Amino acid sequence: MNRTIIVLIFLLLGPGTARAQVPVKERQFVYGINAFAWEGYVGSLSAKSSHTIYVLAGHRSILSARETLVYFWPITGEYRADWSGLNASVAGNLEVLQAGHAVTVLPRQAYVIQYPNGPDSGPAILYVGEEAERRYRAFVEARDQYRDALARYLEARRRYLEALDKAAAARQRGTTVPLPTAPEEPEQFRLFSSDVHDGFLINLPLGNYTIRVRGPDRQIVAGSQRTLVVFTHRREAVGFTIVPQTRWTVPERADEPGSTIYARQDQVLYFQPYAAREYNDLAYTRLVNPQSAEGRSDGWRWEYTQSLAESPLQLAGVSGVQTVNGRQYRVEQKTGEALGYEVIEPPAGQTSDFSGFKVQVQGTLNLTLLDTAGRPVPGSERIVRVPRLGTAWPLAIIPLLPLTLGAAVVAWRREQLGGTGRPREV
Amino acid sequence: MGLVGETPDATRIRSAWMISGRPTAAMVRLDLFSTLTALAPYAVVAVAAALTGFVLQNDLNRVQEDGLLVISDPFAVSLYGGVLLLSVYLAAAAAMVVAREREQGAVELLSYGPVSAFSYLLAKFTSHVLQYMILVVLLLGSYLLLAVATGLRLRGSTLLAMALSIGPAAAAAALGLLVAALIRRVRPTILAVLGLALGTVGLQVAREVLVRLPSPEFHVNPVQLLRWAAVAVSSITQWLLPFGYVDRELSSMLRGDLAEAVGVTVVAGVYAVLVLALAAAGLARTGIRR
Repeated sequence: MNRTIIVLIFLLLGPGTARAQVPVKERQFVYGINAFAWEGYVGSLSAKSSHTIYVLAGHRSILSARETLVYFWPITGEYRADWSGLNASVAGNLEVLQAGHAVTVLPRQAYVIQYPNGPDSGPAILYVGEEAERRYRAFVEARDQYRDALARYLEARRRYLEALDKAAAARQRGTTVPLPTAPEEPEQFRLFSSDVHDGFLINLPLGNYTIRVRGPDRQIVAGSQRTLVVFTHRREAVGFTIVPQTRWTVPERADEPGSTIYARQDQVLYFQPYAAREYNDLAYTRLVNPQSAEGRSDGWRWEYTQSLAESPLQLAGVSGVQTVNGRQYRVEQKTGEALGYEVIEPPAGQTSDFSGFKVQVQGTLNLTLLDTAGRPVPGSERIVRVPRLGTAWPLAIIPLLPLTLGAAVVAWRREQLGGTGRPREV
Repeated sequence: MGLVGETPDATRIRSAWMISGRPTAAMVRLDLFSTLTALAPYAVVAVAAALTGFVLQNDLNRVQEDGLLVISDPFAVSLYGGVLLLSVYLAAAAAMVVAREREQGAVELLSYGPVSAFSYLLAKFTSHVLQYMILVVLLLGSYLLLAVATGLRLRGSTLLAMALSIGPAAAAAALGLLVAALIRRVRPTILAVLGLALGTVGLQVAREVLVRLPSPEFHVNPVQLLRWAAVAVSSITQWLLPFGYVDRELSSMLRGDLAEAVGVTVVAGVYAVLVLALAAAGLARTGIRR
């Protein structure tokens, strides 16, 4: 019996072992990319010569020539790098060519990317050269100071809690001891910085280029040639994210400047304005991930570049012209068994869930964002309309009108011909 | 020779008009009257309006259910469908008229008079383009009524797009005439025109579907090959066949790019003239007899 169980265990374990996926790693040249995107610097990998690298014109991006262990990960269909296994910098300069002619030769530079408001929020700033070294040193110094301040604070807090305990004990004994003052917590340290790396600073005009690394031995580094596409936006406008009060978790976007917003009468909408730029869909998708299988070469997409929540919104409707300002809003679940929520302005001290300009739809409204001087921001005009949501029969009747006209014309012609001729059918 | 040289220009133009222009104008009038007193063009406009009504009702349902709908132009999809439908009808109608008149011997009879192959085709072309203009006005009337009935906005760019669609429509009519000039019989002519139209639209749809399927840049797979083939073939048919001009003209106009839309209309007009000249040469080559 025991022998049978052991055999069964081996049989069950056997196929599992055979199915284990260990990717084959290959040592090769890659480009580590830190491309400027509006959501921050996007890190990605260009492992194959067939990969086209996309960067935004007018913004600084970084390409790092590295040697690493590359493997194909079939689950996501992407090439990945085992940086922990090997991460060696490749010496040499980056040659940039356009239509076969050399445009420039870029040297390697030290760079650092810092996030003043933390890694997941706010803008990212790229520093290169000596500035990068200086900024990184400043970051380390500030971080150490914060660490020391935090240690001092924790020690002071420990002493404060001890003093509190002693004071409480003394009070129980009937002795009055002055209460200690609580230590002040150091301000939260938000700055985040990458380490100092080296790479090639890319800031090229719009166009298609070929790049390759020429090593110190004057030879082209094998596998270093890539196509580099530097692209820019097609249009600029103000985009709106619209949060309907009835389904606040499913906002809609009104980015196209000529788009019209249709809503039910009395519907409450919250508008969130952003400066927006329109990019080629394929280029921007590959900017974020050069190995992406998504993106359309003939498609376009709007990317938000910054919030314009500080600007006032002008509403012109049947009740006149009014200006509204953006506010914070909080969503509160209704108590009881029935599902539901209400959107309120948060009381003091409470956090908000979203911010926006509250607009109650009352007939046709013309919206315009105003700048600090009170002038309309170009591309921010939108119309909110209330369509007729009544019966559908007019939509069935109207198409019959041309047909009725045609029948009348045919009848008229037959009458003209006195019934002798037969109208020619086309 | 000296006498001819001394003839005033006005007299020459007048005599040219008397010889060739008047019969052409008479053919245009006759054709226009004949086609506009048939039921078919009105039926096509009715179908285009019904399609629009269906699309708009769908939009209204979304507003009713979701409470919010953001859309650039509620008439854009139906405008594309309507203009395409009218263009295909125009090409088929122009081809059918010529093929039928040729089959019945009417073209041969006309050739005994002062009517050349070019002036004959020019008359057919002009009458069909005029017919398109009238049908577009009818369609516009339907759109205006639908806009009033639904409260959905009919934008100025939609009206401009309809006006500029005259270029692609003229190109479609010219293509119909070319097909009729090259193929003698009515049925094959109609089938050829419909085949070209459906082929172009089908290719466009296939391309739209294929480009939406994810396909990595660095793997050669069947989707990539099919996509490449569809893009390559449609990028040729987009210029060779007039139905691609409809898409380009409307896309640029609805995006608000008037200059590009006018450019496409002009290119479509040039296409129409070239194809008309080819059709005349084709008719002269294949012969006017039955």
